[in-house]
Formats: sequence, C-alpha cells, structure tokens
Amino acid sequence: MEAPATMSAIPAAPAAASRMPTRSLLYLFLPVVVVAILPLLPFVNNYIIAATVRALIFISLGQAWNIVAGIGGQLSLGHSVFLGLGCYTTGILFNRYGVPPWIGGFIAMLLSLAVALVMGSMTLRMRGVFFALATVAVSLALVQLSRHFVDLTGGADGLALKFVGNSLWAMQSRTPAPFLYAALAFVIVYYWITRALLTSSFGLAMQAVRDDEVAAAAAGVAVFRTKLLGFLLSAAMTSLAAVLYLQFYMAIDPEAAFGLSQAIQLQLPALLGGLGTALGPVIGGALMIFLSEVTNWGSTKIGVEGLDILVYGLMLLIVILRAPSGIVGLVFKNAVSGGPR
Amino acid sequence: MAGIEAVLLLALQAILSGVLVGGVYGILSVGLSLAFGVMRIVNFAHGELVMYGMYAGVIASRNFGIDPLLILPLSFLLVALVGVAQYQIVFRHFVGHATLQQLLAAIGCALVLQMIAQIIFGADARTATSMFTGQYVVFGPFFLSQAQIVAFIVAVAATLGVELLLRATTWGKAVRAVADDLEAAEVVGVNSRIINIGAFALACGLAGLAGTVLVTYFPTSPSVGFSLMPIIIIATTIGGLGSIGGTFLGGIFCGIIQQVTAMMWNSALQDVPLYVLLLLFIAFRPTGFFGVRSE
Amino acid sequence: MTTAALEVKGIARNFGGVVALRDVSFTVGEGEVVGLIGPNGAGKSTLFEIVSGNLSPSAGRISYFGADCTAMPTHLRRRAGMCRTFQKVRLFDSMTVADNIRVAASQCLPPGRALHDEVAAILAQLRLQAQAERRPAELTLADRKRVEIGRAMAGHCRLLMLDESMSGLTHEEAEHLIVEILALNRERGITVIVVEHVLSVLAAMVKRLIVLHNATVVADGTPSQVAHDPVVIEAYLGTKQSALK
Repeated sequence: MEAPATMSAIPAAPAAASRMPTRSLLYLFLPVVVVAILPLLPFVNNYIIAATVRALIFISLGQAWNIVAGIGGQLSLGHSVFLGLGCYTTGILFNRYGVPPWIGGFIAMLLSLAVALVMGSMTLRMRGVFFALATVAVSLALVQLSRHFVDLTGGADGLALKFVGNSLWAMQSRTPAPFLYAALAFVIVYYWITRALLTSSFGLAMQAVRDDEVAAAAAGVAVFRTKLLGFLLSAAMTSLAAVLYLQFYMAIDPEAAFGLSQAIQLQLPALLGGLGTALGPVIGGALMIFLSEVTNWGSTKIGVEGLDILVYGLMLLIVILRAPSGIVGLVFKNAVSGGPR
Repeated sequence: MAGIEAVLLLALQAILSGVLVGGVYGILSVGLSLAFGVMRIVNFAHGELVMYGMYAGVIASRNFGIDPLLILPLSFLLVALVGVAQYQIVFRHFVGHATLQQLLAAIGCALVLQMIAQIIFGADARTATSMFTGQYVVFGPFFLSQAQIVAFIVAVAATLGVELLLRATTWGKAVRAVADDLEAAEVVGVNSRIINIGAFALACGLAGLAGTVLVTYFPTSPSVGFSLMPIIIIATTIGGLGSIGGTFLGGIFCGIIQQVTAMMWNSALQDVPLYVLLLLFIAFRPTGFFGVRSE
Repeated sequence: MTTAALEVKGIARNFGGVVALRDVSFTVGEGEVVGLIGPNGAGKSTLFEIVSGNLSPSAGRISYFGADCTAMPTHLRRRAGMCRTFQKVRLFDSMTVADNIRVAASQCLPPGRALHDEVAAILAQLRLQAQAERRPAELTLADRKRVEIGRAMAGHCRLLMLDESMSGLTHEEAEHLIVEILALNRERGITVIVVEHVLSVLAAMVKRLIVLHNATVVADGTPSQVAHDPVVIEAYLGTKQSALK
C-alpha cells in the first residue's frame, strides 16, 4: 500500500485551454464591457451592481487560490487565513490608527507573506495532505484567536469599519459602483497574472511540481522553493483582494474571515470552472454566484436557509466525479493548442 | 502552600475531565483513523456523520422520550448505512491514495450532509438528555460529570471492541491484511472490495455511536461537524493515522491538553495549544506517535 | 586526458537491518558508455537513486567531474548535468511534449543560449518535432521514452543515466533507442550509464559492463569478459554457462 497521503493533482484542464487562441479574448472582452457599462444601463439598480461586485470579489479570491492549488498543485484548504489577515489587519489599522486602506492593505500583504513563509517552510516538504491540514489548523486557530482578543478584533461580533462617507482615501463609497470597477480591475489583473504565469518558466516549473515532484526535481526544478513561492504569491493575491472585500462589506467577523466554510467557498470557483486555468475561476465564480442568487431567491420562497451551500456541495461532487477538469475542461476539450509563446 | 495545593487540585481536576472528554474525542476519531489505515481515505465528512449520530440521540430523547444510551446500536447501524451510501456513491472511486480529488469529494459530501441536516433540523442547537445528563459524581475534591463518565466508558468499550474485532476475528484479520498490503491480501483470496465497504461502514458506525454518546452532554447543531473536525484531525495526527489504539490515546492527550488549557489559562483559547501541536507534529512527525508507515 | 565523469567511492547503504549496498566503487570516464547490470535485488536501483540524488548513502562519496556531490540535492545535480530517466516513464501529463522539454531546458539553460533554440534543438535531435504539441497520453511508449530522454538532456547534460530504458519496448523499438543513445554519446560527448537487468540488451551497446550482485560490484570489464566470468554466470543463472546467448 502507498505511503500516507500522496497528493496527486486533479487532472488540470488541458494546458491548451490556458493557451487559448487569441480570438477567444473576444469572448472575454464582451463580458468585461458589459460589466463596465452596467451602471449606465437603465434597468440596472444598485442591487444588481452589488451582486456583480460580490461575484467579482469572489472570483478574484478564487483566482488567487487557483495559483497555489491549480497551477502549483498544493491544496491550501485553509486559505481563508490570508483573507482574514488581509481584512483584519486593514480594518484594525483603519479603525484604531486611521491608516488608510491603501497603506493598511500593503501592510496586511506583508503580514500574509510572513505567515505564508512560516507555514510553507514548515509544511511544504511534507506530503500534500499534511500541508492541507496545516492550513486548516492555522485558519481555525485564527478563528479562535480572533474571537478571544475582543479589544483588538471586536471578538465574535467582529469588526465594523468606521464609515466616513464617499472617500477615495478611505476606499469607501455610498454606492457600489466604484467597487464595481475596482473589482473588475482585480479580476482582469489576476487573470492576466494567471495567464502570464502559465506560460512562464516559473509557471511551468510549478506545473511540473504539481504533476510529478520527483520528475520535476530530476528536470532541475527546485521543488520546495517553487512550492513556497507559489504559496507566497497566492497568499499575497488573496490578502490584497481581501482589502477590497473589507471595504465593500464594511465589516468582518471571525467566521467570515477565517472560517472553514469560507475557506471552502473560495476554492469552488476554480474547482468548478477549471483548476489550473486562467478562465476557470472566472467562469466558475460567475456560475456560483448566479446559482447562489437563484437558490437564495428560491429558498426564501420555501423558507429554507443554506440551500446555496447544498448546491455548492452537490456541484463539487458532480465536478469531482464526472468532470474533474471543470467546465473549461469540458468546453475546451478539443481546443487546438497554440497562441503566443 | 494553600495556593499551590489549590492549583494542583485544579490541574488534577482538569486532567481528570480531560481524560474523560479525551476518551470521547478518541472514539470520535477512531473511525477516521480506521478508514485511512485500510483505504487511505481521509473522510472529511466524518464530523457530519458524528453530527447525525448526535441528532439520532436528540430525536430519541426529545421525540420518543428514550434515553439516547439505549439506542447506541441503532445509531451505529443507521450512520453505518449512511456511510455505505457515501462509499458507494463517492469514495469507492478514490480508494488507495489520499489524493486531492478524494479530499475535495469528501468536502463536497460534508457540505451536502451538513445542509441536509440544516434543512431537516433547522440551524439551532439541540441537546439530548440521558439519565446521567447534568448529574455529577463527587469524587474526593473533584466533580465529574456523570454523562462524561458514561461516555468515556462507552468510548473505551467501543475502542476495545474494535481492537478485538481487528485482532481476534477472521474478518478483522482480513481487514488488517488489506491495510498492510493490498496486493498480498488479494493474492491470498481476500475480497478487498467487500472488506473496504465493511471497514468503512464500521468507521462510520463508530462515528454515529460516538455522536449519540456525545450529545448527552454536548449540544448538536448542523455545523457541529466542522467544529469537531479540528479535534478529530489533531487526535488522529498526534496519535497516528491508521492506528486505532494510538488514535484513542491521541484523543485522550488532546482532551487533557484542552481541559488543562481551559482551566489554567483561558477556555476560549483551549484549542490553541492543540493547533500549535498539530503544526509541530506535521512539520516534524506527521505519522504521530503510533502512526502507520513512516516516509 | 580524460576526466572521470563519475567516481563512486565506497558507497554503502542500509535500510534498517538490510544491507542494500556494500562498498561499491567504480569510476566512469568521460565519454564512456557503461552498463550497470545485476540480478534483481542486487542493489542497482538503490545505487541509481543514490547517484541521482534521491537517496543519501550510509557511507561513501560520489564525485562528479572531480567535485564531491554526495550532499548535493537532485535538482542541482541535474543543473550540473547529471541527468536521469525513470524506469516507469514519468512525464508531466498535463503538458505537451515541447513543454515537458521546456521545463528542464528553462531550469538548466546555459548562459547565452536562447530557450526557444534549445527546445527546438532537443526536439530535432530526438526527432520529436511532429509530436511537439501533443500530450504524453497520446504517444506510444517508445515515443514517451524519447521525450523523457529529451527532457533529461535539455539545457545541459554531461552524464546521462538511464534506468531500465528498454523495458516494455519491442526488440525493434529497443534497437532504435539504442542507436539514438549511442548517437548522443558520439555527437555530444555525453557519458552514458545504462542500468539494466537483461544482459543481452546491453551487449551490443556498451564497451564496459559493471556487474552488481549481493550489494557489491563483482565484475567490471568488457561484455565478453563479463559474460564469461564465472561469478557473473553464477549470479545470473546459478549454473556455469555463458550468459550471452
């Protein structure tokens, strides 16, 4: 029998899907334009805009996780650690010390990098399942710690940002429209980062490690360092998106920040859409929010809560059992490879 | 002198409670360890199975007025059946390697099971009452919860039962053969598929049984599964994935650390030392004290 | 004047109570094509893993072109030009053939060399241009082995260690592979060590055979010398006959 817990990657969507022919950039261009002009459309109200912002933030968190898990092949189960660190650090610095989120977010990123460095150094040399468990352990410990230090974090009730009205300096707005553009920018940048990574030497090294660590080492890849750097990049990206999260929702609590449920939710965009591809988290995230809105609307009619999580769970099972490469893998199964080198 | 004596008494009280609570943590975790040892399955939905066992106890107690302790065999069977369903639908495709897919599929199961419970039972916390609930035994200077004592006895008995099953029965030996060396076992004619289903059913049944006994002093809710998973993971990691006795002792170890931390330092942070220990074990000794197969 | 490409000095390795290797020593000169053979259980795999850096020896040293590399991690050995293939071909399944090679090429690229050129050159050398954009799952075993060799050579390669490369191939495919490997040796001066447990495969390929048996070297000479060495014959067949058909 095998030694404990060999983590082999889910078959990532064929690399061809990540090097889609350039004409498909048109497919992306259209949604981006639609989102960008959303506030100008007559039948669109703030609720729709807010829902779109939620979707975009969710997508960018999914894109960040996709880096370490999809490209790197390291299952960071407790990735909410960096979401929480990003939110709490920025929030505490703002509420207590008046530090604007532009700076607070940067400090939060540094903190996340430090934590990722320590965690990664301790656990990335082990078999994957232990790394996954370690991330869960840290995230849950942080739930308890953030509940405990009430003076600092607001305890179980969490932290609410002091509202200062429309302010670029404080990254606050009465309407959701500015966040729409900020979140869209995040998604676009993160998409571009993912694509650049996929075709770069470092990205190839990450994928080699994901596919077969031993063979990667035999091909000259510094395995541990590659895993660690991927983890650090992913942590930083998550932490930055967390700033947007905080500023949009204006509040954070231990469960939403570090909780296991949250951690799992941010994995779903990539898992459903296509792990390891650039487009996957975008499609997966959009689909999830859409499903979520539909089920919540339906469940309020029936009077049941939590139906959307049930749907997530079912979709996860369906994807794992039937379509492990996600939607992108299904759609682009026969994609001709090619694209700029 | 009186100060130190008081502290010592407090510590001993904590240790005693810790052992009792830890025994239950042990039986909660034994199933997970068993599934891993035999099939390399890390059932992330194990906590949800415990939760169903807890709800079984609640229904017995609240809807039928029956003491949960009396329905232990029924809980075992019911949750074992849920486990078989889980295995047939999901896990049988992932036997043999603890892969990313397997872990994610288990998470999917956990979400589904959790939400089904929420839809059926609602999100509120529920308790069950056995004849021992809320009663205490005075034991010298110590107060011990009767429900916890009984739970501990059940936990030890169940663990010993499993050990006996694995060591003394033909079936048990077949299970251990499959766990040690699948190919060799199949060569001598062991039908590993049937063994796997049986072992997984046993693992899940244990979770249900543990849940029913736990709910006599600890409230249940749909999310209790996730909140128990950390302890379960820590107990199995420290004790050793794949080792039944080791995991049980790991549970006791966790219980002691938790209660001592709660009493001596702060009950809100009672799990923090455990998380630290988990990280240290993962970094330096992932197979725990008694774990199966070192790297 | 030839520098020793590889010097194995007094290598020993235990696993608990089991002695897998005991005082193994030999030297491989630059440009040689050497076969490392021995019956199953002789210790070939263990020695291979030690030389390629996946396993550390219990005792002894390894020298690569004069520099001690016993403590060097696998990826650094590879970048220094100590390259290996695997008994069961291990390619990166999610990547194309070209990308498989590109991974190694990008990690081991000599200064001044363009990545694109290196990948193209390797593909050309191993006649894989037609398969460059296909995935390992679509290729025949023989082609996958060639990709693995290409990946093993990319960027920088002075010593190539092949682990039972012929297993699973038809006689014809094996012959073609041998021709390619010998061409690499001739044209690029790559030192080659081939690990096999079937003697006849190597006889045509190598000028020197090192025989491992019971955890140590029992013979080291030309194929015909080795084939008639009674110790070797006994190791393989248990009787005294020629081991060469």
